[in-house]
Amino acid sequence: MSEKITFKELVELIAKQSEQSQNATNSFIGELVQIIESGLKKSGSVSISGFGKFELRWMNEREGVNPQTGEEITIPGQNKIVFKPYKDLREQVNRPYAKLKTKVLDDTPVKKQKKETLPDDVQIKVTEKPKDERGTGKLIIPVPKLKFSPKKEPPKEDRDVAKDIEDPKVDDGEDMLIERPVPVPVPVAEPKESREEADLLPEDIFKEKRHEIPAEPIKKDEKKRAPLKKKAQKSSGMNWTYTAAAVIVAIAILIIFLMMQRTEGPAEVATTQNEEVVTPEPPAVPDPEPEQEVTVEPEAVPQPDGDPFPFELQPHSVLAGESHWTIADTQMGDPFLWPVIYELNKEQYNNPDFIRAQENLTIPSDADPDQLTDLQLEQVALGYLSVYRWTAENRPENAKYFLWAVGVYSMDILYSVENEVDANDWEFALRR
Amino acid sequence: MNYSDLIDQLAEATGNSKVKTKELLGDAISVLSDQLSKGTGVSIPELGTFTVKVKEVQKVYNPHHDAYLMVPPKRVVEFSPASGLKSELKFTGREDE
Repeated sequence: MSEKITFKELVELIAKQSEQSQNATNSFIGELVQIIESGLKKSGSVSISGFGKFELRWMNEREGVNPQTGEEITIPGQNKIVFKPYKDLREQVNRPYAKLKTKVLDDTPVKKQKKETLPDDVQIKVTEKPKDERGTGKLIIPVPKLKFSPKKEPPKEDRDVAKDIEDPKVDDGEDMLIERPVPVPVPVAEPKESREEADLLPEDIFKEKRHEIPAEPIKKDEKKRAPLKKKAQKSSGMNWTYTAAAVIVAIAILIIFLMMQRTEGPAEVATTQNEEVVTPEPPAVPDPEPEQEVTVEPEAVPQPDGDPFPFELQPHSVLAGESHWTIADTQMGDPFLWPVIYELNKEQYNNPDFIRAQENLTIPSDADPDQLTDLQLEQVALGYLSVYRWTAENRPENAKYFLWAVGVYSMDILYSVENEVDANDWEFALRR
Repeated sequence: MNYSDLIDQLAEATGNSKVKTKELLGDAISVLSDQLSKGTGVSIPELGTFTVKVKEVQKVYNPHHDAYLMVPPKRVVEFSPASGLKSELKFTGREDE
């Protein structure tokens, strides 16, 4: 956007287009400029059809401050030369953004959104469904806590639960077969458990996380999963009783919601659990082993490195006028997933703001934006993280929004980078 | 000064026919707009610089409908006049002051 061509290059281009010599073109433009100037002098405006209108506008004398000395000065009245592009030019220049429409916002959500504005493209969508959000919002508020706290604070109870569900088999295996390396089952059990809980509500988590989440649950999030009511009351005293009541109500709603979810579609959970309950029974050692690997592989490793990429991939050749945003919108169904594309192709071009036409990218093909798996969510978060890293180097003032977005998709990944990121950005990223 | 005045004067100054002048000007303008729509800035000596700027998302209030609107980001052309032109025209039409 900041590129410029020199006047000489411009003359060459025009000469080529109009099949004139460069000299002739040069003097033609010289004449044009002079006529514009004299026209402005005489009539105060010059209009060029299909392009725009130059105008003189009189600015009245006004008070000002010398920015260097802080001294108050009077700026004398003077003409300002204004260029007003005509519709053709405006539309042509704005073509990459032409699809974006102005949205009417609800009054209340706006104020919050203002605080936590995401950068350009990220933001529009945020505001797109303020209404849905309001309806479901309340129900889902505590969800992030459920989802994230076990990951963040997996120790005692979680691991116990995990063992109840998973370890029987593992333990059996260990007892019977000493060769099996001990470390394997442990990392397996842990993320699996947290994941299972999360699996309950992938859709809603995703939806909700896209919008801002009120500050309240997050704070608790930080305070970990411990008994909520007590904590709220103890730590805050009388003024907080209302808040505590609200939290209790929210939890009650959540529980009902969870139960509904469970009755509706716990297919995955049920099957995985069944498998695990069943597998320990056959004592034959070689059998459970492959089975375990099957269940574990796709889900276990939280780091993306050793992982099969969570999206199916396809090649894509960039068309003129396309951006990450539009590609993500058309191919993946949700423009907010664009960092995944960037993450996949960042070797090719370092700057996430630019892609060239004809460039061959690898892009995900199978994303279902409402049903992203945890790994896919993490992949999106990693994408945002890459964008954040790039932005932090190049446009540090905007970087924090991307860091914030990392947390929207995966708090785990956000927490994993706590020490690498700028302290202010970090603080901002936790606000929600 | 409207477009036909401009063409008249330009034809006179360059010694071309009006039709020809119109074509030439059209070509020049189309090249300019092409560059601008690619996001490339263009500067023309003694006139000024055209640049393309991305305006960020803005929240605006429409008092008539009492609603907040989210205006999407857009690209706009900005023109900053050359300093010579600026000082030349600074008091045009206001010489008496």
